[in-house]
Amino acid sequence: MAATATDIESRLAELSDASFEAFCEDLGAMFDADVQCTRQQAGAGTVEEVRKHFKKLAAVHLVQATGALNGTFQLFFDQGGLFILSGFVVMLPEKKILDDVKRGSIDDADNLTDAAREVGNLLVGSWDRVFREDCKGHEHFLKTNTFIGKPWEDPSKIELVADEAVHFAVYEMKVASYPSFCCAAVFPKKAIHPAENAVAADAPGQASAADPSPAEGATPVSAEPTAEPTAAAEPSPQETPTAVAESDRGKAGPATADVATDPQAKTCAAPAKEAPVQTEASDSEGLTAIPEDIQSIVETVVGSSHASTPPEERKVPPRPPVNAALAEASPSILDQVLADYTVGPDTSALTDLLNLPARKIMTSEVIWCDPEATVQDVIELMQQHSTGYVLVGRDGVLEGLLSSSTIQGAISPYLRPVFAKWRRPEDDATLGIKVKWIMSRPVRTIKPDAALATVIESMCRYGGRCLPVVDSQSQVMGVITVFDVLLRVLEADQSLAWKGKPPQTIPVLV
Amino acid sequence: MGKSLMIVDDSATMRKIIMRTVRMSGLEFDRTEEAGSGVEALQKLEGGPVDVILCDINMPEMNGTELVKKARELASCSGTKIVMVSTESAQDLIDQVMSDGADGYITKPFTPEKFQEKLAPLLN
Repeated sequence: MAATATDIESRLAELSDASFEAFCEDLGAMFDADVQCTRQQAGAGTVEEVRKHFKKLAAVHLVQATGALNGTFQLFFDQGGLFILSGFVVMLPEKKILDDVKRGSIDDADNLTDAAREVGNLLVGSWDRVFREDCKGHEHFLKTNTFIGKPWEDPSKIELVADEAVHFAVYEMKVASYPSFCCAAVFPKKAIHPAENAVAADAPGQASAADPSPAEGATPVSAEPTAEPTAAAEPSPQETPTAVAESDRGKAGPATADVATDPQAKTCAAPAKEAPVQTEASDSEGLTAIPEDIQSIVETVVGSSHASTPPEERKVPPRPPVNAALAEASPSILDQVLADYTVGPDTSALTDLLNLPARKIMTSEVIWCDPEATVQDVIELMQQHSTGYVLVGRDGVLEGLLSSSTIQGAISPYLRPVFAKWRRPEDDATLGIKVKWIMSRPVRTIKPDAALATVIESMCRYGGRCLPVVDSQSQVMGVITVFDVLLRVLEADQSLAWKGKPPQTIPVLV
Repeated sequence: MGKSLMIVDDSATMRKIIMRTVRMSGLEFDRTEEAGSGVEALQKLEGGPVDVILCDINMPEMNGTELVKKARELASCSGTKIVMVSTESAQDLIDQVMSDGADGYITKPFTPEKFQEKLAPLLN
């Protein structure tokens, strides 16, 4: 037997509880997070009772119901819910999400429209499933629109009128470690008792099936492109609550303004999940979820380069010279080294070594990439050529330098296979960063006739582990890495008889 | 030989969520592609088939059910497994798209386990 409107009305809070609970569980399972909600209030009243909970920005999902509920009802999320849920599913940095919760503007919200819509789709998916299982006579829920903004400036945009009689249930929801926020389900009376609004409808279900606009204002103000009618809107006469209209006509007319606070607030909680690794990381510089050791690498890279990184993304104070002591000591440091060695019996070999010109130390094979190339392109290039350094430029004009450690600092650590479980779209997005944003520049170079001693001194003084060798026409002849230097030192000592190719790179594991 | 995957959804956010869930499910694809509509998907399929398509239903231009029908007309997609991913859970709709040529149906919200359950048999 199909549920009557009175049955539905009496069970709305219960169904709403179950639906939000299902959403929490679904969201928790999808994103491996702890999501909970607790009902704060439920009852009947006017839209005014709902309004006080959603004074700032809100996301309002309009749901067209057919079957036991027949018409449009609204699912609200307050400003916190709008930014937390939308930011959470697209993995925005925690700091950004928290800022938006406090100070987010309509422009910030507009940037998250796609994410907010998807949250609405997931929400309505959960609701539809619960009603399909628990509510006789339910046919279909279809999200027809997602409104983002201040809903009370023009309530018609969310298909409500100011003093409209509604049933509602208000909840406090909490996602992971984010602050709790408010959400609500609002059921206009006309969606519960459609016969009151129908011209001639003995059976609301049939009326809805025959009428493409089953409820007043059911056509969305600005329907989403994804909203399409489906086969689920077919009439089900045997489940149509025929008795609804009659029983309802006998009910009290205008809705009472009093609000029944639910004394038995129900907690709907998704099972607590294992906390993702990233939650401990601080994001003071917008580097959310990057473990401390990785963050330090990022800071080093940013501080040591003059990359044209957008300032809002990488506001890291410039790092002081790599080793102030070395910088101050130079050039005496090399003299001191030599002086120490002169104590020994034979220093000629070392002197010869330190006088070795750069052209004899450098690696002539130079790998280039375009400034517009992505991090992903460069990783492939490095792996292909087994190198840890790539020069950035066009037509032989050197614009910047990229090292594997720069790459490591720029990409999300969650791209590593060991973190696959926590890998999110935002992590993948770091592979699309253009190299021109992260490359080190300007690039310190060295002349081909410069001695190894000068190379070492430059590396020590400025912290670079790769020096391009450039001729008088500014053409790159090759590069010298710290590994090339070490190799020459090893080769100078015949007793070691070391043969082999110097390592050039720290593997980038993606 | 490696498997290839195409994700068809008009929402970039959902495509990324699906991509991430596929990874979390442990399923391995050597090549993945994305398409924002049925039309774009067909254009890409004409350039070369894929092993699995994960396809939304409600999309502008050409919806998922139309895409299934048209993909089945392509000789190159005869072996392609098409799995619909949608919030629509009405059984009659599911029956309809399955009879149109879909090989599976996953309702949103989904989990990595659900992907594993639905896709692994198709890959084998």
